[in-house]
Amino acid sequence: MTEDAEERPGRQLGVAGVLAVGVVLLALTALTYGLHRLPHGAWSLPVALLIAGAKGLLIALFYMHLREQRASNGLVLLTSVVFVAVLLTVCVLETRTRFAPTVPPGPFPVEPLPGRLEDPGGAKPPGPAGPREP
Amino acid sequence: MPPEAVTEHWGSEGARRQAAYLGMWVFIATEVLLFAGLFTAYGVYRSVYPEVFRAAQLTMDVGLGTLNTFLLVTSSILVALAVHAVRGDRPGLGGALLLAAALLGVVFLAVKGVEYAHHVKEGGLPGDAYRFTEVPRVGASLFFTLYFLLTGFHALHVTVGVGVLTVLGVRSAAGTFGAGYATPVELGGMYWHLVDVVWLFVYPILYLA
Repeated sequence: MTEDAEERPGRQLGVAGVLAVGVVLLALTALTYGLHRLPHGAWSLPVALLIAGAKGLLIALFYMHLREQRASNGLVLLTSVVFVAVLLTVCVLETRTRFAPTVPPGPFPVEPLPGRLEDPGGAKPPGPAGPREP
Repeated sequence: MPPEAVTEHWGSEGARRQAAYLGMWVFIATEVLLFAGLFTAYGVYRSVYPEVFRAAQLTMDVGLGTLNTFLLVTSSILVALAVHAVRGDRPGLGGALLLAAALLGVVFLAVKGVEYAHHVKEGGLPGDAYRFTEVPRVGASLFFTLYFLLTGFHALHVTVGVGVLTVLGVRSAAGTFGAGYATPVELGGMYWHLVDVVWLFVYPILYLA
């Protein structure tokens, strides 16, 4: 067995370390709530998510034992986080830069097309394409 | 102690533990991607209906959301202490801490149930069931659809986690785990921390900003 497959037990947290990380987590939670109580603007969401990210990093490193494990385990988590970032960024950027009329309407009832008010069925989606069955 | 045959299969105790951790991290990565779909849907629809989402968000009970955040963070600390205790060959203490964390999980679910009852009473329901007159504009039903999907999926994970912690706690108190075999407690703890981390992101986007 290669040496790098071993854990690093020397990096395990003691009780004081576990409690110290816990106090920081509770303090950051209180900070998130405290900032929410203050007047806040457009930066409130990025700041709140940044604090959540810091808490997540602390939990992954110390409570989920990444710090004592080999780096490839962290690579698995990092890969998933990168894919989440790509998915979120591309989708939100695409939505925010759309030409307004191409944004799909909300979930309100479909209104009949002008001139077809007498026919409520006119607003239904067309049937499936392809040759009609005899 | 793990069965010898299992350790022999992996060649060494270190390799067995590494395989267990790696498997758990792959599982956690799939869970992260599951929730990523919902977070992305939230981000997209919030971009389309920013004012309505803000108005719907203002009707959330921030006090209960914050209480639940503190409950989960505290339970995570208890689980971390439990893992430390079991690794230090004190499975009795570890079991008690795991059961205490599971209890906090049950309280979390109870608080969530109170919130859901408020939403049902007000009519803040997903999709066609939406009847909340306070925020009647288009898009608000989408906020509540995503609210129930995000918190519902999360509550499902909390329920599973409470079950896992309870089983691990009882078995640990019975002396099944110890310094030589703490892997199940470590992996169960990682799952609970994942549930906590997901909530840490759900909390600000649904309740705060």
